[in-house]
Amino acid sequence: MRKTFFLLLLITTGTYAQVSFNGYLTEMPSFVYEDIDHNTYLDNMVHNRLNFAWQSSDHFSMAIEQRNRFIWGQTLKSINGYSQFITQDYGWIDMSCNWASGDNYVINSIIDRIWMEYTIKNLQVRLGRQRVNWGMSMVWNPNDIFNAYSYFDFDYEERPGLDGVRVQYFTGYSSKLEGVIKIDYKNRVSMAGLYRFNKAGYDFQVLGGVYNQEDYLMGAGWSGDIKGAGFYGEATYMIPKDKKEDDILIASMGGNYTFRNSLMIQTEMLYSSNLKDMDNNFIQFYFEPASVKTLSMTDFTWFMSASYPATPLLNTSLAVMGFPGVSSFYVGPTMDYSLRDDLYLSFIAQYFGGKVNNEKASSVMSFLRLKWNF
Amino acid sequence: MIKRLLIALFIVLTITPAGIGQELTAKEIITEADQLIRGNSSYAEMEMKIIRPKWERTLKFKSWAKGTDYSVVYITYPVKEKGQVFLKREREMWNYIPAIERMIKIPPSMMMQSWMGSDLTNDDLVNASSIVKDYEHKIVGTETKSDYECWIIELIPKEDAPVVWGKIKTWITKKGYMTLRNEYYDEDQYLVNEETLSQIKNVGDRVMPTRYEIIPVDKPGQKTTLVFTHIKFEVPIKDSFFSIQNIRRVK
Repeated sequence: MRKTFFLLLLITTGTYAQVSFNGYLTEMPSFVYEDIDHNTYLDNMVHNRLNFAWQSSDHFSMAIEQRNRFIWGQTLKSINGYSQFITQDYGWIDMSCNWASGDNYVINSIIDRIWMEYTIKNLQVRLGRQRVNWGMSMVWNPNDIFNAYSYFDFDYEERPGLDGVRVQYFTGYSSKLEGVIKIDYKNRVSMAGLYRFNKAGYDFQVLGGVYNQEDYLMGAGWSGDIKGAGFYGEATYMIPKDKKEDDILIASMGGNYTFRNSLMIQTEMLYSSNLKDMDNNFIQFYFEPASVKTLSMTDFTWFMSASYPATPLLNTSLAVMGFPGVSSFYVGPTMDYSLRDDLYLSFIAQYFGGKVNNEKASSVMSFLRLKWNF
Repeated sequence: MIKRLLIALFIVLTITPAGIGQELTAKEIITEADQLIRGNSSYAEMEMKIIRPKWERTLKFKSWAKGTDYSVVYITYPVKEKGQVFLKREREMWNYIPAIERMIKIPPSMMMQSWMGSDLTNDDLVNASSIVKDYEHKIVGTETKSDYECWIIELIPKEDAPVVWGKIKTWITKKGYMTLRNEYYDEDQYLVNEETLSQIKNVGDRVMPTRYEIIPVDKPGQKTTLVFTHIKFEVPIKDSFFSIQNIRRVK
């Protein structure tokens, strides 16, 4: 028995030559104030991420990543269905589990990556729940059709995964052909192909496919520089299959420049033809599961930001967003402080001002986050 | 007798690279010094310490390089940055961030940015600019440093060269072409950084300094140190190692 165990151990350690484990744990209280009804909400979230990876040989690898959250507070209590909304799994297989929940708290675990990958020479096939990131821009990514996300969800940079298969064929040192099939929680299938290449100091990509079985789409993106400043953009054109709605064009373009003292300024613009007459539904925009069709709440949106490491330990940034179509704006200052190599304290504020039903309204959300990486 | 003389001459000529009486040009010296720390290819493990009067931070990384055109840097510590990869091919550079599974193209202006808060720039890290190709060189003197007789060479950037500095002064040993000291000046010819190289070791096929100390002149108490904990030269690395496919797979 013991011999078998050691033999197994030997085989396992021999086969799974490389096993890695890491993650983080955060504690984040938040405070929200809405001036329209003078409502305040106090909440707290304990957030843990566990990443496991195995690489058994040059050919085969696997990964499982899990997100655990314990959320409690007044938002859960006062907004109907909020708990369900933040714990919903939008993938084909439901891998979200509420261990416990009450009227003002929820304890949830969700597996947002679980995949295996096989590589032979230039061909790489990955099956399972995974992230496919097709973005080129920094704020809005119309080409990132599989994992579009909300800019404001700063505490989840990994983003949800998609359930499906991804095949990549590397045609050169910086070029590849890629095909992805995704199935979502409503059993809708998305399929797309992408070709990425490098020419004249620029990365380019072109893509095409079918989105949620509803729209045909094609797109293109680039990333390069003009006189040292980063210059990038993306555009996606969608044609509804049933022709009942108008075609949609979503495009973003932006740039950034870093000064010698490490001050970085960034600007970006977004155009979304389908958002011309959108209702001024801010809540929906802020919380909805993001889709490339709802990257903003108005047809034109602009963004500007500056970030500056005041010291190597303290990074500060300020972002401003404008939604001229609905006379609204956003201001977001952040501060990140490194307490230790593995411990960060951050302050994040999100201020929204503008008009709701032709009345002036504003809200402030503020977060204090302690993050331990392990 | 003549035969003996010829043999002696032959020996002298072969052991003295440039021959007797033939003065090396500044460019040849710089080329030798550059070749010493680069080789044709190399693999290194490094530890960097950012030292400030009240605190210290450590970064560890692995680096692969081939010639002046190709390099890959993989961060191994701290855990927050672990797994980040920098790829450089000729004049282009990319940063792969595993948490978001995205490769970001780094524009040239970002190359001059401090690398992870240290006194080094992104450009220093991947040796994006070449001290051989991007500068005009001139021997401006000789001096003895740590018991080594050194040439002092001045490097002035060529016009349009994508470099950070206005001038570099470098001390290179006459024996072994080891760089022992660098002074970095800005465009207004003010001294910005002093770099001292020490811990001279035999690393297998060559003798070279394995510890770098960079001190910003106008910031007392600050410095960055860089130590090679492991270095190997002339390791066979395929060109395909420096690709977007491999950048996601290096460990």
